[in-house]
Amino acid sequence: MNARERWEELQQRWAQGESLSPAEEQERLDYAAHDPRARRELEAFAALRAYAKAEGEPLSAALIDGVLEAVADGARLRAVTERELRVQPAIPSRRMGAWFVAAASLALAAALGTFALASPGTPKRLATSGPSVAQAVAARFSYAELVLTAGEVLVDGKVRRVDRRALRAGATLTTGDGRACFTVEPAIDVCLAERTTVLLEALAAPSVRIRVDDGLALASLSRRRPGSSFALLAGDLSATARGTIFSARRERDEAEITVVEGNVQVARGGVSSQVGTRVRVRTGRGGALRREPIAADDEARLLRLRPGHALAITAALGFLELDSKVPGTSVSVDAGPRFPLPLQTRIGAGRHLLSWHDATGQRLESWVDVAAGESQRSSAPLGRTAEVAPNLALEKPSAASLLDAARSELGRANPRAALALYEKLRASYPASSEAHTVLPTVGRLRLDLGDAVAALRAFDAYLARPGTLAPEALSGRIRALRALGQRSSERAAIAQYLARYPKGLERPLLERRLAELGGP
Amino acid sequence: MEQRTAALVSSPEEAEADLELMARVAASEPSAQRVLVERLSRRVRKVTGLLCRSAADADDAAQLALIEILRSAHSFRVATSLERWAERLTIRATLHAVRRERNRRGLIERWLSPDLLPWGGPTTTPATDQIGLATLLQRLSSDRYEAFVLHHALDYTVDEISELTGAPVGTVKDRLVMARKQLRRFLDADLAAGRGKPR
Repeated sequence: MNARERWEELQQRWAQGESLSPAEEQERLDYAAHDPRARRELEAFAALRAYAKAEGEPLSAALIDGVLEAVADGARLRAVTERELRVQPAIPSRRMGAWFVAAASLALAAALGTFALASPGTPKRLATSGPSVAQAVAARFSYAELVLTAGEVLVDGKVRRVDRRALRAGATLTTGDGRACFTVEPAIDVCLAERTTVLLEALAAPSVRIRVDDGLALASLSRRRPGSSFALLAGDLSATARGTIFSARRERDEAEITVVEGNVQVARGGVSSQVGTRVRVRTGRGGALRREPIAADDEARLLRLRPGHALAITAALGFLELDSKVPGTSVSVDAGPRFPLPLQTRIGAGRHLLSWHDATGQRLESWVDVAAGESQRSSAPLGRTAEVAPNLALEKPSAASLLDAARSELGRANPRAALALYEKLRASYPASSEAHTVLPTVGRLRLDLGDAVAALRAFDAYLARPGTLAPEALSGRIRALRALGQRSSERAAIAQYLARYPKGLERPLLERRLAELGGP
Repeated sequence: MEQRTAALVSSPEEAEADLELMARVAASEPSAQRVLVERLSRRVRKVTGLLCRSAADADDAAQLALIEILRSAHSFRVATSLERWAERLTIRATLHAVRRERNRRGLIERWLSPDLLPWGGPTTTPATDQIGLATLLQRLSSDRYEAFVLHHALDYTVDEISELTGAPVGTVKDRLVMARKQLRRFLDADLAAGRGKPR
């Protein structure tokens, strides 16, 4: 291997996040001083890093005010300002003349009632003033996405789970024995009962329409902007709202609209009337419309179509996936309604209470921590034992099985789930040897997840009764102290490590760190 | 790594002040909310600017991120510095916004002429222009671009990127390798064309 190939190898390892030894790092930098190509690459990386570290421009006062107003309003609507989307004519290609680009712009703009002026032959960005073509087109679509599926849910006849894919206009959603919720942005949640089929008839703003072909759908929406509306359709009934909770149900020839909260405009055959809170309008076989108040039970039944947790698509949401090996098991989240399994849902970051119910009526509660933007998987804790003996469903898993499960989560790069299992093992079997052995791993996970205080506690606990993992625990303790900024304790811990493990793997790094700290 | 470690944890005095500030923000105190937003807005906009491909998207993402930061104030813990905590929320908010925007764009582009770009830069770069680093990075696919910026600009480890993007560790490494190879090719071509250092 020549010097160039050696550098390529080192650079590749460095670029994919691998730690190089101090000698390798020096070798990587030294070589670049003599090779223009290598130097150029290092300069590019350095330029990017320098740009990222440099202080950025402040946000404009208007944007900041928009943020503060949005938070003060408590609105679910996240679009704080209208995006200023502008058409940029492409650089005229050799294939296509500049005049064609301009003509295309004008044709499209005219079709949408706006004007985009393009200056032929100008190779730089050209922005239109006022409403732009793209803005007008963008305003024509509402983004829709599945945010909860429980049991089997079909989209256009194919099984679909919660993912990050958009639902398209014209799609049909069907729930068998399962349940589903989807969000239409901004701020419309639609939840479907079992054995329901809906058609996403129109996702074009300002008029979003969902048709209930069969079954029951409940919509919750925050207040629309003037000119925007949302409609649920059932049979020949349509219910249009601008901010409310209401449902539509259709069963063979019967259709009904129930308003749980707010006011809804119900129309049929060109005649419309306003329907207020806790009122139901239904059509019968004779075709006559009946209006009747709803009972508290009916209202509660409808509201239980919604999960107990927020569904809006935000960054503070994580993703929860629940399953069970035992048929007939259901689960409720945060004391909300029960859902069949498997359940996939977006859910707010934080700790959530899961109540598992098996077919025999037994119930078991557990907690799950969901971090923003992360996925968390959990299986019914009554699964394994219930398969053997249903009456022993509440028997807790063994220390070994918890350890296996934690290692398995670690193998899937899911540190939070692994940590939860390790902690569960320690809580369930505090006197076991496993509870002590996992302490260095717990400390390392805590440290990786940013909790240096808890990490230090775990390392100290292990070192109070040290075993074969003492070097790892001491090394972890040093990292935790460093993260906490406790320099004198860190210095003492490094000295301790070097004295105890003179041939330890981390000796070179720790000696360098000790020098930085001003130690001997 | 040294700089990054230093930025991870605040001093005890700073941490105490930050906790108090965040408690006031969590209690919806307007003056505290403004102080926090003004303190973080530069960094938030810098991060969204790095992760988004247009200024308009970056402004939108910065607003979304700041709203999330304000709304998540109750979950702030002193174990990490306020800036680092806010940065992670910003990245999550931005990646989410970028993906959503990508989906939306896919829908809308069907309605536009192939030579009209509603977002971002022109389809081709004039051969006479000096190619800057930003231009080179823009040529990476979105997934590689995100991994590359998170690791090489914002100092996140492969494990952290895996957690932030939802991609397995191996995939993140693969993206970093491919991004570097692609960048290497751009740089070589640029060097062969006799152009200067990346801007």
